[in-house]
Amino acid sequence: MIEFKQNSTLHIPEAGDACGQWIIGVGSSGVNILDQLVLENEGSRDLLVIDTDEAAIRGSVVVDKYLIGQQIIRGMGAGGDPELGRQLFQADISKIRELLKGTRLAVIVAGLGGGTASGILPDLVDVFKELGAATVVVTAMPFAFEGKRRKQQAELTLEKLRKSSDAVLCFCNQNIVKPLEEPLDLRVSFTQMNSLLAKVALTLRHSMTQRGLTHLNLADIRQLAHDQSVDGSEQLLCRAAFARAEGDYRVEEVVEHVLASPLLQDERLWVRSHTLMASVTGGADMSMSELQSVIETLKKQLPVEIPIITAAQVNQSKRHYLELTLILSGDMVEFEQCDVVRKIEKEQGSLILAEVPEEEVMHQQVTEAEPQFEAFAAIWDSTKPVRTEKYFSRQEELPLDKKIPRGRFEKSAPTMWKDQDLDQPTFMRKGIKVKI
Amino acid sequence: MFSIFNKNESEIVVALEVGTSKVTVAVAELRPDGTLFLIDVGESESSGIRKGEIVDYDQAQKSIRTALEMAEKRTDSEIGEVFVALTGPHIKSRTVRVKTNCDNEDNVISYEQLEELKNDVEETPMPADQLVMHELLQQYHLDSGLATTEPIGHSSQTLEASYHIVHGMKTRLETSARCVADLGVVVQGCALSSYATAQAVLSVEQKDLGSVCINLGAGVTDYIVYNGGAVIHTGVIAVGGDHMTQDISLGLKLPFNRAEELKKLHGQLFYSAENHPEKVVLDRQINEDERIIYLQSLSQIMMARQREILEIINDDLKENDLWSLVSGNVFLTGGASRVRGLQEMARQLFPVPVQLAHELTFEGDQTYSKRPDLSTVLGLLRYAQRIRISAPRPKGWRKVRESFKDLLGTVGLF
Repeated sequence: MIEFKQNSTLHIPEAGDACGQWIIGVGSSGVNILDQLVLENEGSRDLLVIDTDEAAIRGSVVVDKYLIGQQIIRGMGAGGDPELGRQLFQADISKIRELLKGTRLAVIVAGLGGGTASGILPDLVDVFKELGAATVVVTAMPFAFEGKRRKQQAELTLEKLRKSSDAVLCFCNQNIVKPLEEPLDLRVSFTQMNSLLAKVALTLRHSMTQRGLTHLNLADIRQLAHDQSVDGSEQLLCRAAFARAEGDYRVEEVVEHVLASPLLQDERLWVRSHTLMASVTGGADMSMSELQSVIETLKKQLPVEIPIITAAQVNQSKRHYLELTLILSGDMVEFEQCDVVRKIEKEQGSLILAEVPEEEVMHQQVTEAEPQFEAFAAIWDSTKPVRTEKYFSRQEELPLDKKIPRGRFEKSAPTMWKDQDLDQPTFMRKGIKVKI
Repeated sequence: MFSIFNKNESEIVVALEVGTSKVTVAVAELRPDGTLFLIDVGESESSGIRKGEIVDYDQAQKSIRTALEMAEKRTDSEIGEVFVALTGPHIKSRTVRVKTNCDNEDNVISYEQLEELKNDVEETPMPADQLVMHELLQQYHLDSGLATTEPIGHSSQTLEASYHIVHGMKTRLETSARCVADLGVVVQGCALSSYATAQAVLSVEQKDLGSVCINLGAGVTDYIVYNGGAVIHTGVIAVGGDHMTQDISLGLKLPFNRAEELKKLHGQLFYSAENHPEKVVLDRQINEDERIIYLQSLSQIMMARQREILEIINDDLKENDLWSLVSGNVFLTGGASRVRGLQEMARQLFPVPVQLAHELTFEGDQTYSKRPDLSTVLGLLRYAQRIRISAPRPKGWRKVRESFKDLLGTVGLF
C-alpha cells in the first residue's frame, strides 16, 4: 500500500521555490481533481490547491496547499457566493503573487458554479498575467440538477475567463456523468469524472513543457480552445477520452479503446467538432514510427475528417506501453443543452437536489411525455431564432408549372426513357415534396 | 543486356478507363506462362466528361495524360500501348445466328467451318454509322440439338452458331479512342466497359449459372447478363452517381461539390427516425454559410433516383424475358455501389439474390483489391490478358531489331 502523508498543518509553499509550471486546483472540485491525480500515481510535484474551505484543504493529499481568507472566515468556505470569494482573494492577493513568482505556465483546474472557483478564477488569471505566465484553464460546468443560479454564475465566470486567459477548455460535467446512466456508485462516477479532467490537465502541462517527440505551444492549445472561423462567438465545448494499452497490439488497442469511450459515441458530436488534440504517451522504447501509426490508425477510425493536433511524450519508467488522450473541441452547445433536458427528465426525483425550484420540476414533467427529438428541436429553435426563420419554417413547394431543371446536364444530350428526361431530378418528376 | 534475345521475357499490359469521375490506368505484368501480376494503378480526377462521354476534348485529354503519367511514375515503366474500356448509351447489342453446311464426306466439323461462320458474322449487315466492338461467341448448335462451344470432331449436316454482337455509334467510339491515341499511345484494343467489369467480378461458374453484373458508375450505369458461360444481353443507361448528386444539389439548393460531400458522409437510401439523427449540419466553408439538412429529405431524393435506375434495369430484363435465365445472383459493383442501403433496395426489386461484388483476386499489389470503382479497369486487364495470349506480339528478329533500336535510341545514336 502506498501511504499518503496527510498534513495536519497546512503546508504553504515557500515563495519562489516553484518550478514555473503549476497545475492549480481551485475550489473543492479542483481539490478533488488534483487528489485524483496524486492517487493515480501520476506524480505529485508542482501541484497546488487553493480553497476557502479548511476541511477540503486538510483532506487533500496534495502537498502544496493554500487556504484563502484564514483570518477572515477561518476556513468556513465561501458558501457559493462568488463575490465573497473574490473579496477573500483580494485580501490575500499580495501573498499569492509572491508565492507564484517565477511561474511560466499555469494550468488551472476548477469546477465552476460555486463561490470559490467562480470568485477567484478571473482574478487569479489576472495575477498570472501580471507575472507574465501563460494560463490554460480547464473548467467543468455544474450539473443540471444544481440549478439555474449556479449555471448562471458559471457562465458569467466562463465569459470573463474567455476574455482574460490564454485558453479555456470547458467540459460539461453533465456529459461526463451521462454515459454512466446505469445506477453506478456515486463515488465511482465522481472518480471517473475527476480522473478524466486530471488527465486533461496533466496532458496539457506535459505537452506544453516536456520536450518529447513533439511538443505543443500556446498557439496550438488556443486553436483547440477557440474557434477562429466563427467571429467572436467562442462557444466551444470540449470532450475528452483516455485509454491505455500494453503489449504487442497496443497501437490498435489504444485507438480502439479510446474511440469506444461512451463520451465520444454521439455522431452529432463529430459532425460539429472543430479540432482534435491527440496526446500520445509511450514507453522509453516508443519510436517515431509507432507514434505515426497511432495517429494514422486514429485518422482512419475517425468518423469525420478534422484537423488533429498531435503531442507526444515519453514515460521513461515504462516499456511496451501506450497512453492516448483525446480532447475534442467543437460547437456543441445545442447538444449539451439538449442532453441536460433529457438528463433531468430521466433523473427527476432521484438526483434533483433542493436548489431546483418547484415550477421547474413541474415543467419538466410536462416535457417528459414528448418524444426526445421534439425537445431537441424546441431548444434549437429557442437558441437560434435567426436560423429558425431561415431554414425551418419554409417548405419547398414543387414548381409544377415551371420547367424542371437539368442542372449540370443542361448542355448534354438528353437521356430519354419512357418519355421522361432522366437528367431531370427523379423526385421532381415524381412530385415528391422534400423539406429543406 | 542479353535478355533481349530471350523469348521468355514478361510483357507489360496496360488497361485504361476514362470514367466520368476519374481516369484510371492499371499496369500489370504478363508473365511468359500467361499469368498476370498487377504492378500499380494510376488515377486522376477527370474533367470534360459527362455521362461517360467526352464533352471537352482538351480537358479530357489532360486528365488522361495525368493518369498515364502517374501510372508510369508509380510503376517505373514506359506506357506505349493500352487497352481502353468504352461505354456510352449509344452502345447496343443483339444476338445473331449464322448457318453453314458441312460438305465434306463424313460431315465432320473442322476448323474451316468455324472460320466460315466467323466470317459470316463479320459480314452481318450493319448501318453505316455503326461500329462493331465485340463478336462474342455464345454457342454452336448441331443437328442433334447439341449446343457446345467445342464442336470440332463432331459430325453434323449443318452447323449453326449464335453470336452476341456489341456495336455502337462509330463517331462517338472513335472520339474516345482518338483522345487516347492523340497522346502518342497505341490503342491495342477496346472493350465494352460492362464486359470488362464482368471479367473482374464473375467467376466461370457464375457465368455458366447465369448472372447479372451491374456496374454503377458516376456517369453511366451499365449491366451485362451471362448465361451458359456466354453474354446474352448488355445495356448502358446514361444515368449514374452524378445524377444523384445533381438531384441533391438541385433539391437541397447546394453547390455540386457540397452535395457530393453530403451524399458520401450522410447519404443513405433508407431513413428511419430511430437509427438516424433528424438533421445534420454542414459546416461553414469559405463563401458558404452553415446549413442544416434534414436527413429524411436527403434519403427521399437519393431513393427516388436509385430506385429509378434499378427499375429501368429490371424492366429491360423483364421485357427481354431474361430473368428466367438468371439462376445465379445479381452482382453490384462500381463507385456508386457504395451508396448505403443499395443492396437492400436491389433485393426488394430483383427476383434473384443480390450481392455486392467481390473482385476476383489478383496477384500483385493488393491495395486495390477492395475497391468497387476499379473493377472495370482490373477486368479490362483480364480481357487484355486473353487477347494477348491468343494473339502474341511479334517475336523473333523483328522484335530484336526493335529492341536494338530502343537500346541505341536511349544512348543517343538515333
